[in-house]
Amino acid sequence: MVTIQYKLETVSVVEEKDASWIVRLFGDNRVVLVATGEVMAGVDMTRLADDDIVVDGTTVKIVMPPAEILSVRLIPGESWVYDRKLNILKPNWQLELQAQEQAETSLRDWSIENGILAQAEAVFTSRIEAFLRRLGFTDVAVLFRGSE
Amino acid sequence: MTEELVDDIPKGKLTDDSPSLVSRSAGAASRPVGRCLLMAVAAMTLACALAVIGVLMVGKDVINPPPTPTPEPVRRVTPLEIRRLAQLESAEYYLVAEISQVQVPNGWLDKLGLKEEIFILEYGTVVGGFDLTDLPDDAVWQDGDRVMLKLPSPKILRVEIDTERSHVVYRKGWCPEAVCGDDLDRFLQEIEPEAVEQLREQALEYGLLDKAATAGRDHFYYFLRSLGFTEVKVVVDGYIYE
Repeated sequence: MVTIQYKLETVSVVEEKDASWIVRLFGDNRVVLVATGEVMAGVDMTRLADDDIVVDGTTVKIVMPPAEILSVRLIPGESWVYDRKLNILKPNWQLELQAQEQAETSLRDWSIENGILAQAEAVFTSRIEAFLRRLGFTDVAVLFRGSE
Repeated sequence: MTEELVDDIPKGKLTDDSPSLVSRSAGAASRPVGRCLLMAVAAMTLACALAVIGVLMVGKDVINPPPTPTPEPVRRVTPLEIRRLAQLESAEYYLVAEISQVQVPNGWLDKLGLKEEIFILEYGTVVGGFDLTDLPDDAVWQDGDRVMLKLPSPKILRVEIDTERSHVVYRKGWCPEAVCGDDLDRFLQEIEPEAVEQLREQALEYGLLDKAATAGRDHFYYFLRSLGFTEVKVVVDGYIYE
């Protein structure tokens, strides 16, 4: 269940210098990518085991697996190559893809550092609590493994 | 001046007819030639040796250069938006899109024979499931041990390109930027959306939504059963199950 989504922007710079000085005479390979992407976090409910749910009348206690990053992706059309220089002798055509990969790593790391997982758990808790109350439960406890 | 110079020379060697002076002059003339020859040979040998070493070193670098480190860039991230969601992802397909683009100049420049071709494999995951963010009140009905849940129609929630595996298979030909334009700059703006669209179409063709509907229904069925409900019915909008 995806419960939170960050939309972020980052600048990724990938530079490659060739080992041979002769090749370097013709410039380096370099790409500057301005990337907008989405990081989604939530709870993998397929990891919920039978004994993670305890029901007693209208009381329910659920122990969920901890929140995790479920997706990181760049938004097509909202990302572009700001600057690109390719070596004439040995151009690296994979550089754009490497820059994208690096941008995704940056977005993921930033999101984790800024508490996306805690927010995902908080949103999940409020959603599942509301759902369980609609099912008639009056006393609901949602916990996460590792923080019980 | 002349006198001063003459004074510096030993007196006994001043006379032109001095045999020792004549013979010494002839020896001095032959020795610099020999020295020059020797020096030239030495210089050529040195130059050749340097050239051989240079070619070996450079050749080795060119043929098999050692791996070049890619410097870690400075990370700059700006948050744009934060959204609270409730999306149940119930099925996903991992697919590949083949993107081929040919770049030729416009107008009469076409006759120059310039052409640039690029072929890319874009791998990606297409995820299907349910957006439960705005689940209406009447979606849940409960009476004692009986419960009924109405889920909305499944949809494609996202298409995610696997940048680690996607790659440029080949790039052939050449067309200067001034003539053909910079097609690589359109990489993300045009090629990537095309890949996303291809992956989405493939997923629909292979029945992702049907799988998402069935998996979502099963997921909620077992979840509600584990909550103690004995009679559970899960309905997916647009789908009829026996």
